[in-house]
Amino acid sequence: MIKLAEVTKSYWDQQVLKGVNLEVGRAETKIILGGSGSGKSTIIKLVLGLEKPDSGHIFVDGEDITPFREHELMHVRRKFGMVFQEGALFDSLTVGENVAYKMREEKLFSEEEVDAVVRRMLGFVDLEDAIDKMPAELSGGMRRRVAIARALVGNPKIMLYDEPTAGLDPITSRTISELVIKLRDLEGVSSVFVTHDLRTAFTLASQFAVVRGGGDVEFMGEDGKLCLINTRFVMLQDGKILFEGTDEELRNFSSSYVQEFLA
Amino acid sequence: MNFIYLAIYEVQEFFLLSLRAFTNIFRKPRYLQDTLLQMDTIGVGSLLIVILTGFFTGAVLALQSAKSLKSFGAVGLTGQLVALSLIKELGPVLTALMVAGRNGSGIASELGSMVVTEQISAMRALGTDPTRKLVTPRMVAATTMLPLLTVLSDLCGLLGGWMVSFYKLRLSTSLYWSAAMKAIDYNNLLEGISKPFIFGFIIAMVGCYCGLRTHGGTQGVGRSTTQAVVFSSILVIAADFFVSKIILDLRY
Repeated sequence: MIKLAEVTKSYWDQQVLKGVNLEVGRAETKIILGGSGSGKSTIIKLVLGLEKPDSGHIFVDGEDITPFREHELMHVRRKFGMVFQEGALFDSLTVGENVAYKMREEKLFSEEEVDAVVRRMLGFVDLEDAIDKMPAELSGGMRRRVAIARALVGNPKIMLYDEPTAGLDPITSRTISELVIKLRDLEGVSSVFVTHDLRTAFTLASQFAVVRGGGDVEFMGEDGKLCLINTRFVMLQDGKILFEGTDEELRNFSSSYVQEFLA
Repeated sequence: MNFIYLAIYEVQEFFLLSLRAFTNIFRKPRYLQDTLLQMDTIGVGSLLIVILTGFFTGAVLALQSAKSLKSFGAVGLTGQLVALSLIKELGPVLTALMVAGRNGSGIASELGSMVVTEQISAMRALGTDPTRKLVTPRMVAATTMLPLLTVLSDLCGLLGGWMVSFYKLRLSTSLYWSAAMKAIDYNNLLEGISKPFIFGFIIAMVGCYCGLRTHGGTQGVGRSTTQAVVFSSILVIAADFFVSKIILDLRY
């Protein structure tokens, strides 16, 4: 669904990406790991068309979006849901208005339809009660969850997460990873998950969600017998892809950079 | 060399943003709600400071000019001098400087904070063009509100001048106003009203431009805010000179 071919990008005189090739398939999750400044977030911004690559091409559903102008990119962006670092909620709008933003902007829906979707999305992240609160009144974890709810409006096929668990406690991070796993396994959403939080990354790579009778969702581990193949790691170093593969392969990969990162 | 290259780049980006903000007026989608909100913050919000500056400017003009006029035995012309300098120069320029300090900084810091918290990127990701939703409403609001504020400021200045003339200089009310009216002719009014349109445009666009190019966290927001006030104030005064020159050349 997404394909990057020989993409390079530099800011002023610093080259951030030096020829990156990456592919994300349907219902597949790519976890992008790497130190600060290794160009992780830049990949997401390029895929969304928020920034333009210096060279190379980016394909979304087989369409080369590199030469697109801003207004042409608008219909490409509809396929994506994006969760920014810290959430990036509009702080002048309430939680409900934030989630409703995209639908109100498209001007195609009645207020009742908008309200129903907003409640359903906030229900998915378990925050129905916060609908009339301002983003400033929420905790960091709640803000990320609202950001996920906002990104889910319009049923995007691809979710992009930019360090959604950075600076959160382990329990809240766990809630966020469960949301991501649910979207991957139950809704068939592809995702690109940028992080340097290893605990969350390995949770995503080793657990999966199943629906039990009665609609309850249960999370199960791989426990040695299974191997999740729809979640793969990508390790970036100095603007280049150093490694791509499953979590087991990553642990066994013989590179001092990777081993130092995992230690 | 690098500095010159950078300066040209900034000027180019500023003009491109201004051009886009302007052409947005003629194409959908338009954000009427946001425009009205900005008109309220820029127009209604600046009422008090504009009234006060206008009033005291007029008052001090009367006070100072009467002293010089006295040596020519022409204290009776105080009204004309106050009206002329207020309507052509001081009203538009001082109002613009006040609004630049109050709203130019506000625009830059608001947009700057939105940039550093990625709200601008989020807006684009959700399918909205920030120049339409944020820049054009501010530009429209400032260019329409500043002329109105300037007229109000001029009136308050004339009132301030009258109070000084009447209570301090002991001039008769009719003498002051008849002298003032002589200065208010079509040409002067045209000059006094056309300037604030340009100044309003400058204030809004410099504020938006400085805000949107913010980088470097909270510190960057502070830097952008300062830059917005400094650049828009300088540009307002420089533009005032050139507009006056053009109008004088056209007239004679």
